[in-house]
Amino acid sequence: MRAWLDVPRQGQIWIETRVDRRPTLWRWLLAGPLAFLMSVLAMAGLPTVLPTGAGGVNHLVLPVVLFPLLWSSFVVWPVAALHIGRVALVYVALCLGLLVLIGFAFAI
Amino acid sequence: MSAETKATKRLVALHGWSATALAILLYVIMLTGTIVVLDNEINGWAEGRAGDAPVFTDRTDDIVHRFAAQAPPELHDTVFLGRGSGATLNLFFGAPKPHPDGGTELFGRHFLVHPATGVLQTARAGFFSETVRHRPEAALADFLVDLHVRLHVPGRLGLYLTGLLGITMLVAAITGVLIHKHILRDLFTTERPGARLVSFRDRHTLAGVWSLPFAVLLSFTGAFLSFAISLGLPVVALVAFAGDQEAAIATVLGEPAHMDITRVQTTDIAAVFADAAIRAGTEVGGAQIHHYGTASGTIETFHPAADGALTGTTLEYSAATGAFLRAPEIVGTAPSVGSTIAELMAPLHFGNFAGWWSRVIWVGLGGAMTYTIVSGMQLWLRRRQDDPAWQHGSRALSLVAWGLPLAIAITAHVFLLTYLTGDPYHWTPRIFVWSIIGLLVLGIATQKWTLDDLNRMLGTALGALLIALPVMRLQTGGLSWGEALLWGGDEVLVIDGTCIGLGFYCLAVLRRKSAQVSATSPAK
Repeated sequence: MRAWLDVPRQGQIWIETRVDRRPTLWRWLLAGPLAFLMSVLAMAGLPTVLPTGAGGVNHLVLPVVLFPLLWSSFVVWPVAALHIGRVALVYVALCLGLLVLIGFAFAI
Repeated sequence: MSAETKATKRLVALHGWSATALAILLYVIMLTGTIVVLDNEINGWAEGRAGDAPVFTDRTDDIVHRFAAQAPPELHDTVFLGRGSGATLNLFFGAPKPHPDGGTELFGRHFLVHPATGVLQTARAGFFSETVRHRPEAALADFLVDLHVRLHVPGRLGLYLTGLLGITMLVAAITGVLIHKHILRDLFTTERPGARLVSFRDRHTLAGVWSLPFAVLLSFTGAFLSFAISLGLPVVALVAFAGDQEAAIATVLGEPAHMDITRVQTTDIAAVFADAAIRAGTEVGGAQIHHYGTASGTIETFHPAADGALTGTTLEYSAATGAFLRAPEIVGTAPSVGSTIAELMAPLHFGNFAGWWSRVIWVGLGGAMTYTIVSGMQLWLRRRQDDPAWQHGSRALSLVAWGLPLAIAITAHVFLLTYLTGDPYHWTPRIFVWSIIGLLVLGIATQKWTLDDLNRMLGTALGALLIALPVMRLQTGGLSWGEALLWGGDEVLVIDGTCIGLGFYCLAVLRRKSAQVSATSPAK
């Protein structure tokens, strides 16, 4: 049981170690193709958690409106961040969370 | 070097690369975007529109019913009413039909009718985009809009490309904010004298800092407009409705009303328009009648923004009884934050919410952003002028920076000629492409010229062509300044005045640069 609880911590160390070894390459990847992928996943996942509002469309419109801002933020952050390993970790966590939300939307 | 300094250096590099890597395409989008803020005015200028005679009169009702009787009932699915060329009433009766280029579009009969007498001026059959939207006076503005919206790349690919450029501009603006340590002080930078690098940087900083909020606004709304339909809505609909398109459409546009195809007399359209004008606070700009002549028919009226409002209004009436039904939202079935935000995107991008004032501000700030891009490229190249890899960069920049407006000016001249001969839609894009090819050949042929000589030649040609544009318009049958003054042809006066002013400004800048070069060169 204790070994299972330690898996996230081991995963964090594994990701940070590998990313910190080649920071320039990972900055390009995180600010380039992965930033686009993250913003599309965020746009797809947000309708499942945002409130629908009185018109029943807020959860559909807001992710589309936020898409340019999300994409730009996902580009700028890895470039500005001092610890690229932590950025990679957040990207992985966000990516997994968003995939769960999207999977949940298709499952129900 | 500290970690913070390294991060700042990386941001500076991202700012430079994001702005310069796609700078030429960004420059095309910014310059054409600045021009097409005035697209309606350019159409009025080309047409020689004087005053704003109403196209919807007491006779509109008679005219619609008369032409409806001439169109087969299957084309009564959608009736469009709007302003046509030469202050005529634009009438279209159509129904959806597969388009040869893909998708579905309204196909039907199109009539241009004199709004006061009801006399038919033109009748055509075809798709909506090839009849109603095919207005010869709009060929130049339509071409520039298409260049701005999708860089003439067909389909979704063009929208993805311009959306990507919008994101690039947004990244450049955000990093511009992050790397500027003295943003307030830079608002009041005064240019240091001389043609040194610092004075270029001063001008770039000044134009860039003043237009920074505008750059964020325009790049954000532009990226939204490019991606919303082409990528955003399909992705969101796929996830939120698990691919159920009918459920998605019902949520966004509302449940389709029960169809009652019982034939009934359509209500008095003029009375509906009069009521709509009172409710919206502005006259009707256009209208659509859905399921004309049936009990479930509806009339939608479209109104430009009223005084003090940012967005226009759409109202819906019963076509059978004339009763007011609702003011439909752009998305959803009731007012919501999402619908309001989506509705605000277009006016904030186009600057068309407060008449001339907002347009002039949008043109001015668009011009500042265009200058920021060009001066940014100049800075980038000046720092690398000793690098052999970049030695042709300055010549290429001159060709692009002067060449694009020059190609647009040549296109405008040919557009006016072909407007006279009757096929501007065919010639306008072709002449632009040929002008660009001609400029590339000129760039190769003048490789031995000095950069100053090349700039002088291109700038003089641009200035002369801009000054000659009003002359060309007059010589191809356009409205004279006297007629424009007497009959309220504001567009003719403003666009002509702008062309002449910009033409003389180009010549004056070149003259000043020549004087500076001769003052700094050693005496013979």
